Formats: sequence, C-alpha cells, structure tokens
Amino acid sequence: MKKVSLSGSLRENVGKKDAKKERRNGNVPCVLYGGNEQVHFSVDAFNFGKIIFTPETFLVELNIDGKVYQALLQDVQYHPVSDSALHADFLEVVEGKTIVSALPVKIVGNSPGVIAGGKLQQKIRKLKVKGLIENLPEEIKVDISMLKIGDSIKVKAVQPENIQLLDTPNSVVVMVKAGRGAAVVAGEDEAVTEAAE
Amino acid sequence: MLQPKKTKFRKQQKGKMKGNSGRGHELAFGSFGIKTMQQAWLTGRQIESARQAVTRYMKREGQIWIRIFPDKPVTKKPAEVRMGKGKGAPEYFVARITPGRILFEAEGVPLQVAKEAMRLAAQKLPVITKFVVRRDFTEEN
Repeated sequence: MKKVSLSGSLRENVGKKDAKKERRNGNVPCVLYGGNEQVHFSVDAFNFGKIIFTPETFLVELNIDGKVYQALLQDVQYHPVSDSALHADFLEVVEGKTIVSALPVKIVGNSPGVIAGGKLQQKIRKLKVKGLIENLPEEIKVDISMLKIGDSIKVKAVQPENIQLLDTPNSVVVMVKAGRGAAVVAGEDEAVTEAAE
Repeated sequence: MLQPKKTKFRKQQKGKMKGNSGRGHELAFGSFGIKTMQQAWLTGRQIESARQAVTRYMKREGQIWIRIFPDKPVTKKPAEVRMGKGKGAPEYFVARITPGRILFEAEGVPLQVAKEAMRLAAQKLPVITKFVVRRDFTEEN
C-alpha cells in the first residue's frame, strides 16, 4: 500500500465553535481512533486534498505534534454546497489486526471485445477488502485480455492473494458492452456458422 | 414528462424551504453532474427540457441519471376568476430543491462532452448550477 505523510496539530478544544475556527484558518478538523486513545487534531486543508482527490488509497503516516501514527482515511464529511472537507476520520492501524479498506481497481491488458468496437464499462472502481496491512497491495489488478463483447468479470473471478474481498461475489467489476456498430468477434462468428450447420 | 403515477392527496400546501440540501448532494452514480446553488421549485417540464438537452448533446452515448423527481402538485386558479371559492385545480408537479442538490449525473462520455452537455442542461433551469466531477476522477478511468 502506498504511504503518504501528513502533519497535524492537536486541537486545544473540541466543539462546534473551535471546529469553525479551524476551518476559517484553512484547516480540517480530524479525529483518529482505533488505537489506545482517541486523538482530536487538525490538518492543513491543502495537504489533506492530496489524499482525497486521487483514486488511490494511502496508508497515512500522521505526525501529530511529534507523535507518529499509522492510519487509514476512514470517512470524510463534505459541505453540501461548497464541497469543501468539513471533517475527517482516521482509523489507526495496529500491527497484527485485520483492517477493512477499499482498494482501487486497475484494469490491465487489451480486450478483444474493445478492439472489435465494444465499450468497456467499469462498474466498480474500488473493492472492499479485509486483511492485514502488510498484505494489502496498492491496487487490485483485473486482466481484461480475455474479455469479448458481452463478457464481464465478476468479483468472484478476482482473487487477490492473502486478502478477502467483501463485495457481493456476483457483482460485475468490468464488462464489455456492444457499442453501436460493433463488429462480431471472428471466433464467435465461426461458432455461430458451425452451430447453424 | 416526470410526474407521479398516483398521489394520496390531490392538493398540497405550499410549505417552506430552509437551509442547504441534507441529502442527495454527492455524486452517487456517474462521474459528472450538476449541482444547484439555489433553492427552487423545478417543474416537470423544466426537468424534461434539461434532460433532452443532455441526451441530444451526448448523442445517446453514455448514461444519464435524473436525481430529482417532481412529486409536489401545484394548483392554479383559472384566468379571470374572482378570489375565493376554494383552491384552484392541480396544474403541474414540481421538485423542491435546496442548495447542494445534485440534479443530473452522467457517465460514459469524456469530460469535455459531459461539461458541455451539463452547461446546456443548466440553461434550461431557473437556478444557478455548478458542474461537479467525482473526486477520484482521472482521465484514464
């Protein structure tokens, strides 16, 4: 899993007034939980943007007033109109404890269906996984080099090592849909003629 | 045009709208969308007109989602009728929207196409809107 470091400062007071003050100063109020204690802190909104405006999932090394924690971004609340981050939750990563996270799906290979004019549709962008932090990969690779028009890859067909997938096994991850004017794949055409004979 | 198949009551009181949208302010289906910055009653006709503008520009490529539904009946008195004598007859349906509400979403088209389609849709609506993109959107996915 990719690592990124983020520095924050402890919040002196918690509550609505203090949180508003933090936001006015260009910070995002945050909370860290899952370890021995709960830590209320704030991080710079600009630096925080680097971990939310990306498809990747990071293991965040939080430096809060000199103390370092390993954490995962658990939840973010956004303003309904301005879309700015209002508050973030971090889950502390404890060694030897399984965690649940969402990893990005990376499509690899060239699909014969797409070459024939089909349209590639990615239905799931992030897969929910459960496992130890050291076993979590940066991304889950899905090979589409066997996908013809009308074919799909389901969650049950994706089998990453040492981690458990939590999504519904029959959910479609990626599929090739027949586009307008898509040519029939040569192999399929022959099979149809054989069947007719 | 969008409107309920049947309603429990024919007429409704006007009601009040306050504050920002409490729900439906995040993209849920597509990568692109438009979000309203104002509160308004959007009529079924306005929503349909905006939908047609998006569909025509996207040339039936990709997929669109309408995130609002006009479920509130609006009544109107006939022309040249004196005041009183009861509430008018239901004329059309509206969707109540508050700031932050996502109105339309699109997927399966390039960013520039979606942006232009949403601009055309926004022109059909009586509110100021903002084009929004999924936070983890990159050109390759």
